[in-house]
Amino acid sequence: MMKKEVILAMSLMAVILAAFGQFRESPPPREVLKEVKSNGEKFLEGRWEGIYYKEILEPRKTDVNAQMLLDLIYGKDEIPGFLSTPNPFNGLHTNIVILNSWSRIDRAYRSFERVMIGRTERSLHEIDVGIWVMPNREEALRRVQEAIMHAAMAYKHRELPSGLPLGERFWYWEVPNTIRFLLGRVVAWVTWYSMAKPDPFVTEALAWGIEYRIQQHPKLLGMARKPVTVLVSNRPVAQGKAIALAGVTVAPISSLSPAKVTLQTKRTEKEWVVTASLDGRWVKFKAFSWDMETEKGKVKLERPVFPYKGELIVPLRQVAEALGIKVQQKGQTIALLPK
Amino acid sequence: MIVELRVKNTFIALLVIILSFALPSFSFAQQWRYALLEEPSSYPLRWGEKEPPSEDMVAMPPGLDTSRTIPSSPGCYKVGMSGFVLSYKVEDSILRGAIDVVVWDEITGETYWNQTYPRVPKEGKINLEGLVLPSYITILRFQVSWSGSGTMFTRFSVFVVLDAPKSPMDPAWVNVLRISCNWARGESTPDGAANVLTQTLWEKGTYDPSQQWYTRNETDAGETFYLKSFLSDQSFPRGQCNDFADFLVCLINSVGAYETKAQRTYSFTVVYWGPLDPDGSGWRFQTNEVDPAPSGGSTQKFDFAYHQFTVVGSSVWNGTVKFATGIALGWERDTTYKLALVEWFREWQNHTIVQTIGPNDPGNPWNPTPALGFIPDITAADLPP
Repeated sequence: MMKKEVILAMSLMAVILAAFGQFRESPPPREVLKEVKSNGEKFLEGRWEGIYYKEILEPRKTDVNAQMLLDLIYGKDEIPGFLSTPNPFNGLHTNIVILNSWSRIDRAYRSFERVMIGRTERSLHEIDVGIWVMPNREEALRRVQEAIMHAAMAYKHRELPSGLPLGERFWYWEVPNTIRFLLGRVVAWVTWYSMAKPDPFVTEALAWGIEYRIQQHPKLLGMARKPVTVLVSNRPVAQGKAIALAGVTVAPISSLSPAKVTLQTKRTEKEWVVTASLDGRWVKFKAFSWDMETEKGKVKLERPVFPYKGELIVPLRQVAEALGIKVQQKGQTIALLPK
Repeated sequence: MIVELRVKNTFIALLVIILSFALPSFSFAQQWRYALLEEPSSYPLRWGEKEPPSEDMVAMPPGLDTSRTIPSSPGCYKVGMSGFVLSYKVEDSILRGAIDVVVWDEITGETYWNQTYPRVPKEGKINLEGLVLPSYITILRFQVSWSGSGTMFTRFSVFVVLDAPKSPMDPAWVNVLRISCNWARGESTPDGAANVLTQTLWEKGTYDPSQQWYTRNETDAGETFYLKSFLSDQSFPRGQCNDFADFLVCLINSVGAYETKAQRTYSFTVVYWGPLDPDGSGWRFQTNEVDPAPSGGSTQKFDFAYHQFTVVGSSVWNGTVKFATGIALGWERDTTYKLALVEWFREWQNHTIVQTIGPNDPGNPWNPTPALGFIPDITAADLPP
């Protein structure tokens, strides 16, 4: 019996590691980059598969690295209906710049649908995600305030579409549909440029997904994160992956698998849908949506669904309860009690 | 039988691989030393890759010189230019060969000019008689071939512009000319070039006035435009009005159409910056219904602290938004443009609105600043935080 469990655990570990490797985007390899000197500093610089890359080598005073930045942003094909295709002028979809004074990663995701504007054909929608990592929180706040104050358009504070608080502070514009937020020493933003109509709830869902990613890096928060422990039949699951987003615990949907929940994923370039079922009950949710379908109808979610490393992150309690799993929370520990 | 066939195939594959490595070594005896457009002089160019500018210059004359760090250089000439002299040197095992010069339009792909010079020595100069550059903006591709013991060729680009590129594009950046000559291809007048560049910027641009993008050190006297970073933006061309105005200055001035400058609606000293404004006083304005790039035709009114545009004297070009009557293409700044842009001005004191007035009402803040416009200070340096 014991042996079986060990084998099962090892197999699970192997699956997790394989998935982690598969869904973790790697930085440009060293051999495609050139060492360049400028003003007494040494950099690595180059272009690779649509990424412009520049990294300070000497003198090196930053703790930020490329993998850390890539882990903060959505993969090139992680937003259904969109793909990070190269800009027709410069061949880029991503910029990664790591300097001593700041580091940033910016990525564009262009919709498959296209439209003609005058003589120009372009994507109907474009989503742009940017993440700046500053040396400390004060610098991050100063920079975001300065960028807003030096904008030609006057800023007027608005609530987010959901009415929820994002990060430590957030700023929201309806046109162009932009959410910017501060968390620790990170400033992140999501903008949906559209020649039709953007969906502000999707823009917000994208931003929540970025907050989740930032929270996976306590070094960026400048404080220790209180871990959430999820127990299924008294065994811990989703270690390090269960996080409280503005008070609501979210976790990978696979956390429910040990509770005998069956998962069925349908992922195409235009949609990413997961159906979870247990004992005749089922829930169905889409990446970046704020509701789930159940056999009793649509249910509004407390936090949006978003992808992370190949699977969907969901508000744990709501989804578990919809599947008939009892949920008990005590402090930072959540126990899922299948029937 | 199958095994035998596999062995045979492997042997053939190996032979192909060995030959593909070995063959190029036979051509060691034949190689280019240089193939340069020695006359007339090209306008100076900059790559736009690094600072300081002195370390970023394109080596001249245009063409190939294998002794250079970057062997191949593009060139830039005025429309209608002629009198080209090709200076060349090759290494070959035979004494004479043929030089073939083909010039084609890089944008349309059409052959523009072609001439073969048979039985020429391995080193010399050739007058490219009959080669007269087009009367319009374009990019030409030169291919110079040598046929001796074998055939080899080299290629380089030539930007054809209306006149000498003007500051801040003096020297012009190669990566800007690639865009400006492409967008303004076929234009032969300054007005035509400025108009099509503005129109195309609006069509292809992503106007986002929600934040400061690629400009820094903004004062009434000017600002620094981080042009390399702007050109590398994954959503290029993207930015707020400062970026669009400065980039339009670069585009129009790079093709020598005009010596345009950037200008703002009024001085920064009279802007009300919102809740963070130090004295809580100043002006803002609301635009009329405008169609920003890119909106797909939907219009809106913006609440602007200020606006920046591109000018020649008092004529305005603006690729950020389309007005009800069209895109501002050389519009008279203080009449047509102002009335198209501004619905009303609003004055604030101690963070409180004190008056709202029309664009032509007495006391309105419209005072294009600086009076003569400014040339943005462009740089290839890294964007500071």
